Amino acid sequence: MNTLDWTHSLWFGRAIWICATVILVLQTAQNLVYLLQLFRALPEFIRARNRASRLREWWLLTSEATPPITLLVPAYNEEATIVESLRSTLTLRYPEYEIIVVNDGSKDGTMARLIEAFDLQPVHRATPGRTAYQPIRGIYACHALPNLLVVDKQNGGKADALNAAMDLAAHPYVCAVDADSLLDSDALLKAVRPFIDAPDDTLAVGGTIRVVNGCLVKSGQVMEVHPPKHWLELFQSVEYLRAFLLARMAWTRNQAVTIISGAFGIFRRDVLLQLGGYAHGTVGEDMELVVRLHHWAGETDSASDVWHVPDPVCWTEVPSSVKVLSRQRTRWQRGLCETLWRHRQMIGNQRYGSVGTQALPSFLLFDIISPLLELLGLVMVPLCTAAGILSIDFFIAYCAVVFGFGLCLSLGAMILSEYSLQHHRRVRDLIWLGVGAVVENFGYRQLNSWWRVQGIWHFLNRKQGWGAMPRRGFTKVA
Amino acid sequence: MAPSLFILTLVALALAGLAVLMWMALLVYRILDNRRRDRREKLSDEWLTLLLPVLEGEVELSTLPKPRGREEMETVLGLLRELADRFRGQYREDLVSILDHIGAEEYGLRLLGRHRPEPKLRGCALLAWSGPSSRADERLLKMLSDSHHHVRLEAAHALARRNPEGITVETVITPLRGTPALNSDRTRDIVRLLAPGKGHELGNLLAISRNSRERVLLLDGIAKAGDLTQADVVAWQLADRDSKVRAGAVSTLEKLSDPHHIQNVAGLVSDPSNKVRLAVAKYAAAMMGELTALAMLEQLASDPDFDVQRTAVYGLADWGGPSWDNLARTAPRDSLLLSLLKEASSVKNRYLDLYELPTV
Repeated sequence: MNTLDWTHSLWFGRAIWICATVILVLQTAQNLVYLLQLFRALPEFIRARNRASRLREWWLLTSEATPPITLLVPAYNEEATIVESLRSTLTLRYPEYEIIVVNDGSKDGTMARLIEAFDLQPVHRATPGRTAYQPIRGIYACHALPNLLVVDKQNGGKADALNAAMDLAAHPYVCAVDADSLLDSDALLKAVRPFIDAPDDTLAVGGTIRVVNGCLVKSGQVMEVHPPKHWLELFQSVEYLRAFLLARMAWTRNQAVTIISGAFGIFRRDVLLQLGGYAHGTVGEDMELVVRLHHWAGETDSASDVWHVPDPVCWTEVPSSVKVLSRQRTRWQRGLCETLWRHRQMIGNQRYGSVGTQALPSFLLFDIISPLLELLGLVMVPLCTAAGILSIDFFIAYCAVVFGFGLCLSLGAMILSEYSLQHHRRVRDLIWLGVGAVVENFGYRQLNSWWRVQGIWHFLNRKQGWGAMPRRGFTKVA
Repeated sequence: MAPSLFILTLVALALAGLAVLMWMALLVYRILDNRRRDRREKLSDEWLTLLLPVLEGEVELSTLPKPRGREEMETVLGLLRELADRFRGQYREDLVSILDHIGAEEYGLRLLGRHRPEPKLRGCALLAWSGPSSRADERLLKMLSDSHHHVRLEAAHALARRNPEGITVETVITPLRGTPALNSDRTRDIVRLLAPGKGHELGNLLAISRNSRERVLLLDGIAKAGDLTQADVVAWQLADRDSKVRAGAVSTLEKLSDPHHIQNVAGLVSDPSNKVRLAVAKYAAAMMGELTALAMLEQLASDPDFDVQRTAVYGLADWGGPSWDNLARTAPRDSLLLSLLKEASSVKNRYLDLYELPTV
């Protein structure tokens, strides 16, 4: 028997057909679900657009009902951005807030830069140890800024640093902010609204994360919003709209938000302390915490409202090299796998509401299983078509689904967010962003699937660690 | 091509085509919107040059023109809000006069007449800011029975800010009962704004209220009103089943600086709720070194909840004396308490006699 004869046998042909059809059906189903999310997010976006009246937010600034907040800022090797980022945080429009910066055993000059820039002096603070974290080396305060506290501790990771800050926090709400991010001056004021509207039911609120690369930044403030010029950064800019903003807005509709980005999220401190703070041993501590909140609420029959509010914006620098981006994405995927594994009993369980019955199963299906099949499809379908095992018609249909739906989703998300939130004023910026939305479907999304598969592989191999994320500083990013 | 594959291909391509068309539509929309924006910015600049001399008193208000059309009115309102925001109440009276002059009230009333809730909300917010007018008050009272609870809440807030003659807390709170609006912390703001001079009404409402959320709000209102004559009604709430009401009652007694019910408050030192014990610690710390209060603080200084413990230690640091010295003697047995003592002594500048203590 010829070595290639088996490829022409009946059973092989059928197996290929079944496999290809499963991949096509799953891809179609996934895209239809994303399209559904687009429509579900529509009313939320329109609501955000209508709410954009400064007349109605104003009272929050002078009201005694506006709750004080503690900002938790973990910093590790952030000497390039820490001072500018902190200066931006100190100009937030909010009646009462304190900032706790945690230098998580940085190997660069982060601590020295902080001491120099803010003239920090050592102070004594009791640490009750309500959360687990590495030993503290020193606590510093600034005489001129009584709402600023800087904690210098041994390295223990982001979750560890956040736990240390949370243990020292004095206010009833805590807001986790990345040291390499910039907050809009009204971000806290806008994000706190759900806590004021339903203080007993709301556990957490997340804001929108947007890409700062390409924007004009002065004195820690984003002065002009422009899309990045670099292709890779542009694709990420579109991706932040499509995959993060849109999905979270859709999940908000049925109270199934399971991710609040570590870069900007407000939580009830008492509940976090009750749960022991952020979890160690996971790289997806932000998602794990929110899923744990839902888990706790389901177990204790407590209210578990978690909101994503689109208009408070936190600006973050995204990687500009494929190597760093691949590290970030595989880490995110590993974090997702770890969270799903830790809370596997929630998947499909009605006790946990729409999080258990909808959000987590969709993560499992579309973020874990689907990338594997997508990658398989991208390799198998053209190869089998070339070998004459699959029809050319099937190949065309497959390409139409992958690229047609993908293009529709990328552009749809961009159009929806730009119509409602109006971040880019220049027409040429919108054209460029649209070009990014079209082009990202031809290569970038497929690369993402590959990184996801790598992330799954790392999870299965129990790989640990974060990997370095070099920063250029905000003024250089533009 | 198989029909199913053909349909699938067609749908995918049609959706992609539709998205491209929508993108083009967005570009056209943005061009038109930018033109509108430029127009608004030009108007804003023109109005700024007109408004500043009026605010500085260099030009009479009567010389100020009236905005022509909705767009111009919105621009001027936005500008006035920005000025109010920037000068933090410095020109408040002048801004209200300008609002009256440009016909903001009439515009706000028109917004209240619209069908959708959003314009109504904006109308309420605008009227909250404009000057006294019985017509605006009447319309806002009507809005309290709107079908949307958000509108009711906004109208209640506007009325509370305007605080017209004869308005009662009950008038404003009743329409919010049974709606999610009552749970909003905005209602706290509303009750606080209305509270001054209404201690008696708040006390009466508190005595008959059956809703624990409402009782918390009323307690807050009595604290704001500072009406010590209502302390007895407040003290009844110390035995309430809801911990939030108990905490609210203790907090109100603290703000009223009421020493008469200290024994009732002392009974809550071992309350199961952290929030209640925290309120008790704050109350005791505010009691000017009274003996029962110091005993309460001494007990709470070893509370299992850190926030309660810290408040009690800070309270003792404020007053010093034998209680503080006692605490300093017992502290070495508890490293956290010792650390708290060091913290409190540095924050409150209270001398801490620790050198005689054995090393921990």
